[in-house]
Amino acid sequence: MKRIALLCALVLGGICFAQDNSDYAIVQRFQATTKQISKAIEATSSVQECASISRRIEDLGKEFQQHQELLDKALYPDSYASIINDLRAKLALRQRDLTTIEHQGGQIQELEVRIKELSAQIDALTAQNEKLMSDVQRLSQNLKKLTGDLFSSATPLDSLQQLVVKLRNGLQERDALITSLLDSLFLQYDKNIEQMKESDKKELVSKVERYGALSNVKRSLQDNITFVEITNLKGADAQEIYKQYQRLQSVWNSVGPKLTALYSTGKQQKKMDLQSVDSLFAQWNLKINSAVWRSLNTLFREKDFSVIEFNNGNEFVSNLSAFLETQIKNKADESKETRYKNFTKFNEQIWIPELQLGWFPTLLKMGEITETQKADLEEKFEKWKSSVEPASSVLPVVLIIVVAILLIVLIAWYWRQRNTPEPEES
Amino acid sequence: MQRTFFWCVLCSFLFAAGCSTLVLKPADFSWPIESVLKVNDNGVVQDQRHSFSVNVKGLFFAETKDSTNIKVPVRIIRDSQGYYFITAQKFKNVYVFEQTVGGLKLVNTILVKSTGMESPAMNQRSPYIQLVNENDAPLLLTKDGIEKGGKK
Repeated sequence: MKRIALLCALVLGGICFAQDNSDYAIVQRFQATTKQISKAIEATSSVQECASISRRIEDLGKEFQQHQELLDKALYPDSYASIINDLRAKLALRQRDLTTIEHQGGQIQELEVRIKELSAQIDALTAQNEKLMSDVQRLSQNLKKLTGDLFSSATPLDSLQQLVVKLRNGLQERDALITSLLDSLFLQYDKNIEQMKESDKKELVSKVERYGALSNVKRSLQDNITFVEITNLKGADAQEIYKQYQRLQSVWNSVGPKLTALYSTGKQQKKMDLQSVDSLFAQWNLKINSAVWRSLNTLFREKDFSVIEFNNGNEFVSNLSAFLETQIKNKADESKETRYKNFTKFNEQIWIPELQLGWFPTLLKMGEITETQKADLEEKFEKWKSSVEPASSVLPVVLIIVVAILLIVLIAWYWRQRNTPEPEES
Repeated sequence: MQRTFFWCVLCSFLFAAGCSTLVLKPADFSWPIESVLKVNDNGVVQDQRHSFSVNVKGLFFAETKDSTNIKVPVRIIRDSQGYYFITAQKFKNVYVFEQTVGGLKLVNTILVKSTGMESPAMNQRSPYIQLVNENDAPLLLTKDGIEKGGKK
């Protein structure tokens, strides 16, 4: 009886489903639909599309729920539920990626705007710096004609000093802008250039060229070299310029290889430009070095201290050390007063304001002198200090004598007044 | 005589006990869905899912008297008893096979439609195999023939 009932149910059920409901066809349709949805998830490009795909997954679940048992068996080791869940998980992952991409898209747009602004600012500053540079050069030449020395800092030419300060600030500001421009350009492409798609590479190359990234770096280096050539540095200035050199070089160390990779299959001219940037950095470093020694030599010469000229850190230490030795041993056989005067002048005009506060930290940072060499110089300076005494002065002695005489006169007068008898009244 | 009969019965019993084979029961060999398999140039079908292959040239010859036209995919399903039901488009019959050493042995040929089936498909409806073909009434098959829904 049971068997007959089962037969009837199967036959009736079969009639209803007819051909469309071959189990094989159901499984095939389920697999084809999941494949389509999976492809749609991969191809989707917006969060809105994800919402419609989510609805398709729910519909798929509803449509095939009645065949769950068949699908579980037919798809083993997968199952109806695991496939639907995999689709949901894949969609969630894609949705998260798209949200991130859309967010990054917004950031990239902001960066694009920033890059344009920076580029315009750099152009404006370049024009301004160009004018300043020519003014400084003109005034320096005039000064040379007047004083015979291009690097004399003892001139009362305030306008030149002001221009130099303005120019230095302008150059620093432009370097900061170029650094920001390079950062902004490469921020969007934080992966390795080698791994980038050809289309991304082309886009980046066009941006680098449109905003003149490479030419701006070259221009900045050339201007910095000219600035160091035409100006006389103080210790603090040299330190600032050296810092600027280090900052720009660190940026170039990170961006340079990326540009090299970008132009690896490109024009020969670009490759040469990249190489010329490296040589400009080396040139700038050399110019800073020679400017440092030139400025230090000028400093001693202007203050009339006979330190023999030097061109590097070791020579500087040994010549200054020799000068200090001469002062300690008093080889010129100078009087106490002269020695004291010389020491005071050296201490107040060179040692404290120039060497201790400016040049020593700079030379240490540049690696031109070592801490030990600095300590040796300080020790020698202390010896010189202890070997000089302030000269004795006559004035205090005279003052003491005068005060003593006055006191004696006063006491005598008081004594006399007291001992004089008053006239009797008649 | 009685003594001889006793010894005969005893010997027969012992002989029967010694020859009996071990049978594992119950077993279910049913496939949840049919496999639709393409026939290669050598007439072999290969089922990755069930890890078997068989040459079906003989089947095509039996059906069409032509073993060269073997481009149609064959549909195979196994029932719970382990019989293979094989058919294909344009076939008039469903062939029932059982496994034998190194091959499949024909057990029954079930005539379904003398004009040939346009789109046959088989479903597992344990203990039966359901045969559907376009808008025809579905048939329930066993190794012995049509159980319900058409002529036996």
